[in-house]
Amino acid sequence: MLELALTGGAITKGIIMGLIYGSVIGSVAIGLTIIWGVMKVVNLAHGHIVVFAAMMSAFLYLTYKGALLFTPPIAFIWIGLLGAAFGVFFYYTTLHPVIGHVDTMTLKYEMSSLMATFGFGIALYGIHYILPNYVHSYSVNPSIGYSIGAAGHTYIVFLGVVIMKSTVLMSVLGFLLTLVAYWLMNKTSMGLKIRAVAQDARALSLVGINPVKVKVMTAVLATALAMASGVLFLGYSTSVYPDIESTVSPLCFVIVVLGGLGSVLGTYFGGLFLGVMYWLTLELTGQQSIALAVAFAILLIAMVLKPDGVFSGIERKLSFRAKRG
Amino acid sequence: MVSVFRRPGFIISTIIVLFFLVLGYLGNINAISRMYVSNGTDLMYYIGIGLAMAIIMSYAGYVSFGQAVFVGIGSFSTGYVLVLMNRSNIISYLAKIGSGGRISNTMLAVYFTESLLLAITISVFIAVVVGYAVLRLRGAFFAISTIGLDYVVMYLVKYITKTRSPFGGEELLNPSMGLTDMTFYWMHFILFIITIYVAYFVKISKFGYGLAAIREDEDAAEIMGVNTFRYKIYAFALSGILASFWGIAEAFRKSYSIGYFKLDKSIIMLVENVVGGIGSFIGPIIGSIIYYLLEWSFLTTVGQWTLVILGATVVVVVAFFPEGIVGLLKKRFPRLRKWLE
Amino acid sequence: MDKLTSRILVSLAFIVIIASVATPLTAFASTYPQTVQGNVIKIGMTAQLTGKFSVEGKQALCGVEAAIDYFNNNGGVQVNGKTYKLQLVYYDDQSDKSQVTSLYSRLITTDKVDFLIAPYSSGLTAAAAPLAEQYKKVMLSHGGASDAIFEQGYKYIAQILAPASKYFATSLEMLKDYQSQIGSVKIAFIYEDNAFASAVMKGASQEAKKLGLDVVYNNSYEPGTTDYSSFITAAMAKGANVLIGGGHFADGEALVKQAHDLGWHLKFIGILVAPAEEQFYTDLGNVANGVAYPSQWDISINFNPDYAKKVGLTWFGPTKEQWLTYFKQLCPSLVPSYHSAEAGAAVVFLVKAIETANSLDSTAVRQAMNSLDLITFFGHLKIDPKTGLEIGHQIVVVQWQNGKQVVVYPKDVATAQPLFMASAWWPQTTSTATHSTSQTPTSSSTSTTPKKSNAALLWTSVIIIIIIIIAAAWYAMKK
Repeated sequence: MLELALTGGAITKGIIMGLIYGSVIGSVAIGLTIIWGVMKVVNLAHGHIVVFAAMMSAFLYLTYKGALLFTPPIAFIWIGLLGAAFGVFFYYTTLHPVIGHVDTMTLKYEMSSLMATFGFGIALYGIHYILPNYVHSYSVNPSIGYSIGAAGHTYIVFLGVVIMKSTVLMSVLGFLLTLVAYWLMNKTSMGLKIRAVAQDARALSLVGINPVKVKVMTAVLATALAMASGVLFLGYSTSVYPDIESTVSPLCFVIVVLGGLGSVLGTYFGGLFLGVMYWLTLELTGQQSIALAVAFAILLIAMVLKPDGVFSGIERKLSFRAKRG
Repeated sequence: MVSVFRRPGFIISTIIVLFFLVLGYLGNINAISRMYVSNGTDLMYYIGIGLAMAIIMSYAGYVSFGQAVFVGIGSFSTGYVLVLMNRSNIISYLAKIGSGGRISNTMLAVYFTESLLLAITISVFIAVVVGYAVLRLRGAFFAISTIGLDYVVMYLVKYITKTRSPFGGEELLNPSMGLTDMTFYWMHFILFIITIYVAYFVKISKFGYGLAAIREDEDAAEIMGVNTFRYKIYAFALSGILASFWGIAEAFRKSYSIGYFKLDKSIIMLVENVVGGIGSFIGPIIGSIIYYLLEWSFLTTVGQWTLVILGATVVVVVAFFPEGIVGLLKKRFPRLRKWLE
Repeated sequence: MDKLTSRILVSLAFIVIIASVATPLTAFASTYPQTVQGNVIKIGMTAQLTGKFSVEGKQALCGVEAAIDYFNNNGGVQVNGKTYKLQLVYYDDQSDKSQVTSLYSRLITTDKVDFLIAPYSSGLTAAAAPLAEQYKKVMLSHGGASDAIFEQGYKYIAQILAPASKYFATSLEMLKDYQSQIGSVKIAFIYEDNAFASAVMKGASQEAKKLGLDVVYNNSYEPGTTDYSSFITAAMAKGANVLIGGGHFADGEALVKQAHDLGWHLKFIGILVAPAEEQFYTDLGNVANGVAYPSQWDISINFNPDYAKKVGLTWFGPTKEQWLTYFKQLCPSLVPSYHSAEAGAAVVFLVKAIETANSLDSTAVRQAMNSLDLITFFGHLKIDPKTGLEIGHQIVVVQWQNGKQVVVYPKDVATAQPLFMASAWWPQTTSTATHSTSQTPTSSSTSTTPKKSNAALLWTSVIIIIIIIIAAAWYAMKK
């Protein structure tokens, strides 16, 4: 039943499609790496927030008949900004009662934050079904608004691989989003504060910075990135429904651990790696369940061999080089 | 040392078992009590998965996001025995010639035992082989590696199902066995007795104290002479076996579906433990009862709003009982402390 | 937080918990929607209002309610000289197996319903079936199409819709019929891996073999997949020119979308479930034109008492217009699809069986069902007495043409000619098409056609916005 198709074409295709997919899914995981890796909040609501943003943008896009403002490449910016406001709400309703005044995160607080975000997540999932006049699954037309010039074709052929232009665009935007997140986390004083609060909140208050404020900042950044990447995910997949969450969430957790907790670039590379492995297996075997099993088996192996994350070194090297230069 | 039979935990678990025993006998009285039989079956399932999770999470302090893999394995074993072995015609045939269109108890016991053996074998194999590798990890890393384990097994099982069954990889449909909800109730009850007493005796045994030492400080436990690695593997395997029991029970009642592997099933097991309180035997039981009752009462009263209200309730509960119900009770009512072991 | 407020909040939380513990105990007192007075026949079902089947579940619920309203407003149900009204009791089961069993148990024992309607989808029906069997309650399956349920030996389940194995039989017959017009047929099956779609595709591939049609690609994808390009390009590489597949709503829609975007030049597209919904066209616009689906029923088909007279069978229940009136009152925002019609037909079939048996006893009603052979607004209904499998109902092929769903096959109920190439699928510039029937106007009022001039504007604005945000962030950080 299971037959391998070991051809050059399949391998090329696997790598190209995998890179495109990985870039998008990697950017989706970045919000999680910030809130989990840095603030030690196991955010089970992450996938729900991503899907919520995707559903919202699809709903607006279809309601306004594909108006320019609501096309994914533009919507991801302002929905990301909206996500910042949503992050404040998320922090004060869910996280603040649990970790607002905690100095160092122990297992106990990790568990409480996990529970709280679980509650928030299922409530957010449930909201999709109680809004009136709101259909539970959407499909958007990616050719509208951002088909790049060429007459009538929504795809390009590159090295014999048929690629949809919209997915290329989304992966480029995913890369940009990663760069922005990297810059915010590593090159600004905000990023410094965020990393400091994770180490020792009390020490931070000694130097005159309100740790609660920094925690809000972290949650806001993570939620904004999650919502922005949700729109990119919609642009990539072109269709969305609330149950997608059960596919997105495990993948995000896997990617974050693969990339090393708290490392933005590591997470992005983790996403690329996972995407390539998934697509290669899919192309070679033609069986999606085998491809997914391989993706998760990689995680298991990677974690046992290198528990700090396979790609966590990338960020260190980059910042080291930057300092030298 | 106080005799085991007079310890509060034993008394409480016996009371719970007796409660379900009485409920089972009352179930036959009239239609309304039958309703509670069905709820009681579900409640046993919820407590069962909560206690299975407790051994690895609550006793040993290792949070697993993938414990549903064992529930899934259990339900798949049942699906395999009843459907994939191509016996469904035989089973339906037996049901037709048996008394009142029901398969005989002997045949049921045979299928039940086969599922048990298959599930235990696979669970132990996975727990030992994979546990040998992943139990070196701690904290969040262990938790996420179990997600990996869960999904690897899920997709492999799915591939097997897909290539062998006419229903696709998502589910298997049980043949008509003519079983009533009372049969399912007693099947759950047998597994429930095993689960609750195993969970309790693990808690008070030397093994349990070793696990508690691991939970409090693993390095210290190692120095004190606890073979932590071996203890962890035992706990993981035992937790897996108990979880797989509940997969079997559910699949006999509702047929196998891939949903038993999903992340949200693990999360429910986890939530039950946290709501109740980590580190105790009573905690997961209280947590499971509360979670089940909340979900069921919302489902039958507010319909579509269930998830929103349930989610909001969880957020509120966590905000005000960060240590779980047991932790709160211990703090407020110190006299209850000896009952909340 | 000071001590007093925390104490207040803790006690509030306790109240919530106690209230929720107390709610199940009040179950005796409250029977969920209590609206009908006098003699009632209670019908119970679980509806999929949340979760993965929520689109289909909502349709089914509206369909059942509309049919019940029709009977209640038109003289009720006559049994043994007494007039009964129908009452529906339902709960939301979250499209989840783990809730279904207990909810059906509650329906049977606490709410004491007389008859049951099965949940949507084969998997959920399988979870509810043992209970119906145990309590000897008739359960009408309106969404459990999988044949396997009826091969398991259940005696109280009857099917309303045509079984899964028959779904694509008519479509394939149509392809065979028009083969002179379309030339070579190379079929690709790309479908969701679930019980229903698997059963459909198994039936379809057997049918294709029987008709001598060439199947070149056959693969399934995981539920929850959003990217189908791997399957599509693999099928394209094999030279397939007919796509048959889908599963549920969202994936069917995305599959069509991506097949189009990847430039697959198809002669015929048959997709399960998704195109039946009005939303399919709203979402896809012009791309939807030319997409066909096997339908249990379609809003444009007119089964009426005259038709019944013509074929010599009895007519029963509301006409399509009557049923639609009640449907529009109950669910004004929905356009009924076959999911609602088959659920409504379940009520019609049940009422006829009750009146024939002249009794409310489930066994007698199930007996009466065996002898029924009638035409309803949903079409012909007749079940196989031994298994309960539907054998009367016929599948029609419906196609989107110019933003409207038209019936194209079988010929005796068809309202239009089938279209083997839609313009959206064959770009004008590259088109070598010669078939005159295939050319349709590209623009339609509701479609969202791409605006090419927007592209430059779009890109400029993206870049400007990115620059502004980076600059603003830079400024904020510098401060």
